[in-house]
Amino acid sequence: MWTEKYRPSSLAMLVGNEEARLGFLKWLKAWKVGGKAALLVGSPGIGKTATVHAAARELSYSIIELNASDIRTKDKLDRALGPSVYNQALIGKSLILLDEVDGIFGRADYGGMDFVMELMENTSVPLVMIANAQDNIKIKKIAHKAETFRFQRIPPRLVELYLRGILAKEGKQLDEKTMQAIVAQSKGDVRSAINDLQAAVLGQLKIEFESSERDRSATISQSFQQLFDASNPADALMALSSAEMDPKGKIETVFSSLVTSSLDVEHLSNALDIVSRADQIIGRIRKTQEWRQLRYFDVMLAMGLFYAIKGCKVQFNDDAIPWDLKLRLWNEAKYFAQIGRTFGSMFGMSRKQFSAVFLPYFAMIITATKDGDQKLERIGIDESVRKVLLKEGKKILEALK
Amino acid sequence: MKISIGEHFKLPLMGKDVFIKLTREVGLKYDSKEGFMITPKTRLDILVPLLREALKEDVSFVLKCFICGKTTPCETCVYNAVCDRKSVSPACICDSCMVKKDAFPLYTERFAEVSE
Repeated sequence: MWTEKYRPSSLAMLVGNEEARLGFLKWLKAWKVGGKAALLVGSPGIGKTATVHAAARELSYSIIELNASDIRTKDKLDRALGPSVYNQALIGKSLILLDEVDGIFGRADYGGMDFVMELMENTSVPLVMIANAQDNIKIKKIAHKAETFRFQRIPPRLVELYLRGILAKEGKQLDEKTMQAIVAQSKGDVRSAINDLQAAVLGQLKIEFESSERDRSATISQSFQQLFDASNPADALMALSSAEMDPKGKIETVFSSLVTSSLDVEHLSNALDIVSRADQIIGRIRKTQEWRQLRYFDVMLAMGLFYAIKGCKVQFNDDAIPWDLKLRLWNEAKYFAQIGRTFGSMFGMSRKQFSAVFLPYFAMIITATKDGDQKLERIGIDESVRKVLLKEGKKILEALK
Repeated sequence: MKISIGEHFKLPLMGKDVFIKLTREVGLKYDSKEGFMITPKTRLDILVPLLREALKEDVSFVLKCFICGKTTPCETCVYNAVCDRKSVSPACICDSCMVKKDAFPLYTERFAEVSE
């Protein structure tokens, strides 16, 4: 296998993510007992594990490697690593590599997270963790305490450069079109590109480069529009499946499109209910790491949506929040939080409860009250908070007229 | 607006809160003299729609050649349609360096130089 044969022997032999690679090397060079652990995050096949192996080789570290998704419990992790991790003299110049660390934190965590956090604090050797998911809340917790290096996909031209390097070493040639097709299909995953290159050189793979004529964003918008315009459930499913997007992205895009289209309340409510259920399912899959269940996701969302919006016009839109509203959210959210906190505790309820249920009425009442501003000032409410509250009340009153 | 990844760029004043968002949540690096800069921590998926709305113009990113340091024109690149500049790492390779026979060794040498 060329992926094994051309496994990078040094950091310089990798392509892409130059800053992250350099950062990791610098971290490993400077690591001392008591130093931070490292977390490498990014999608598969973009050189995270290869970076660790190459850097370790360059700095003469041996690697104690564990695939964390196979060993999830505290006891098993403890047994696998043993007390040696707390004693540098026992293991010499080594580093611990916990690959797929996001796999630990599924339903069957059983203390795995606690073990990792403890290990981060007490290890006597460099601890390196690798994760694919960036938005997992536990990974964020780790990232907060570790030196984090984010790996991005490799630009296509660099993938081509790498493949050309392999071809030169093999003394083989490949026509331009096939090379471009392999690079385009790899989507920045060097490992899959090398496999395709080997298959193409051996004559086992024939692919054509169609992507130059294909605008990916146009394809996505077309797919979603076809989903909304589908005349039967099978077409809806085919359209949704053809959208090259992860499930969370699909949910967000469907949501944005629904809320920015002019749907009547009943249809919108039914459609949002489907989106909400799809979102819950994704949440459960993430939590339980039962990724196989994803195969039902498109079916559920496409079918549910088809019946929920049947006969309605939905327009594709991938941005749900207008700029004016975004600005308002950013500029005024902290004041609303403060209002919720202050009056929530004053009226004996939670901030959330006050903000969600009582805030609009309170804003209206205080705006309509004579000397409302002075009354708020007397109980010690800041001028900026008062302004926001009265502005909100004025807006609601105007809308009700 | 074209933003060269790895280089500083300037933005019009958009208020204190937006500035805080840009530097804290979006993850742009800021230098009072040089301006903003995209780093590996920058959330480009948030930055693009934000700038597009704020500046009322299209925002695109250009990459720099890792070997010679020149900006690589994405419009003429054969991979333009498939390269998602928002999610790839910032350095690329320009046409003139790509056609060199020893392009890959040059790339690795350049990396070795930078790492020293």
